[in-house]
Amino acid sequence: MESRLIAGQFVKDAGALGWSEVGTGEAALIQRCAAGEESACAELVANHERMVFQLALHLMGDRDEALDLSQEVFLRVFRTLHAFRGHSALKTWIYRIAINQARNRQRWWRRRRRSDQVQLEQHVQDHGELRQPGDGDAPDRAFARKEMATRLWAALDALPFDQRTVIVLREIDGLSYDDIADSLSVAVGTVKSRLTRARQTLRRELREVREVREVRS
Amino acid sequence: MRHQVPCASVRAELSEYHDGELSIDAQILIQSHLQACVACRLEAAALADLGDALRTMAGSVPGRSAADTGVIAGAVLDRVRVEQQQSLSMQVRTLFEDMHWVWAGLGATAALVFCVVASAGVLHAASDEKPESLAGIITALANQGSNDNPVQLADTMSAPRALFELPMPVSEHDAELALSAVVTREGRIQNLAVLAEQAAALHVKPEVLIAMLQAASRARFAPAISGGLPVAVNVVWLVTSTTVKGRPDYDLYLLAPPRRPSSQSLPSPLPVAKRPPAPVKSPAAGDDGLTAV
Repeated sequence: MESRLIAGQFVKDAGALGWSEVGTGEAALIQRCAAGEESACAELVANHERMVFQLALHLMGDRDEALDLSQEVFLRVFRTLHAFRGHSALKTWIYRIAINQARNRQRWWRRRRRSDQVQLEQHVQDHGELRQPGDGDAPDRAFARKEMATRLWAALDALPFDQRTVIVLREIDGLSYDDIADSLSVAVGTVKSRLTRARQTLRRELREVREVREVRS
Repeated sequence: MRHQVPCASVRAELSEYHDGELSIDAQILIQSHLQACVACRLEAAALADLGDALRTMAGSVPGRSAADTGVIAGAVLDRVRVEQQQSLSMQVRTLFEDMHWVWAGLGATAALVFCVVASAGVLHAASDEKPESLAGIITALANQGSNDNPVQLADTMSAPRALFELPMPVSEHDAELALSAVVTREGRIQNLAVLAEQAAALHVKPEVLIAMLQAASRARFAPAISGGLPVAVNVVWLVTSTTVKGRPDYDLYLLAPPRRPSSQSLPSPLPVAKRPPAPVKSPAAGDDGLTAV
């Protein structure tokens, strides 16, 4: 009985899907979810929650907001699972939902965050130091890496949402141009141009950080 | 050193090369160019460096822990369960658990339906507009040329014409009778009345007058036309009853040659009414004034 708890609004014609882009195991998982099987829903969330949370975190720049957004994304996935036709991979479809939700949120969220933005020192005091691979190295190198990450994070945060999304999906999540275009519902050429502009901005920032470091050394 | 592929072309596609989005042939071409060109190799290295820096940064974001991801699944499934419990079907099922509320609801619904039907009936019954009401007057004023708001005949209109000869009862006295009436859009007569100033001076017998009015009310007209449409108009209808009297030889009299008048007085064309004989005073009559003819 418990496995049928989530039946209801998203129990629709999942059996009649095309599933051209979906693997056999994934299709079965989707059909079980659509049938309201709670264990299947838990499995779907477990398979994709890290991906969605990281994307939300990189797009929103805030842990609590990313957690909230991730929940909204999965709720949206379950509510609209009956409309999933399998024309794209489930992962791409979930990415699209996550990006749309983030786009809807980020306007008011960034305004709100700007009003109560805290200094880096305050942030570090609240959440701890930025973790770096090789934190056990020499203190000067560790400091340099932290500074680099902080500056890069700020530069990424300052990018327009569309450029930020493209660079995160490409460089951090490793999506192909086609998948990015599919997730954003834009042409591949648009993906390339946004990626080029985002890289130019971030490289400028990276160069400035390096120059400052060289001057110091 | 001159390269096989120009640097500008390579740099335009360096981003795609870095992302592995080029075809094998294009990748080989660019790879061979990078082996020979230091500037382009530095450019490619900068792209790779940026990617490394971004991935390093992503790995260092505070708050990204395994606990976060574990939280999401539980929260999502809880919310789905709550939504399921709050769904419409569940609410309906809960509603029917206590039949007292169902009967109360049905009763209230029936009362509401009754009230709505009763209100609609009252509104329907009261919807007939009385012509003397304010709404009726306003409607009539707004609709010029209607039967309730006839207009005056104007030069631009064609006047109403009688469709057939109307036999009128004849008065034994000469009379001119002015009737006011409205010729409706349908050509009928309504609001027929004798003009007030004439009514007092009439010498027509009442029964003849009534018969004339009844005959006039049966008259049919082609309605007045204004702008191609029939309009109701106010009319004054003049009915004249004239008696022409003459002597049988009057035609001969007219044909006879003129005679010289024998005196200053001209002969009367019409016979003069015979004067009644003077009353004769009876010798037997006293001073009481009674006369016998």
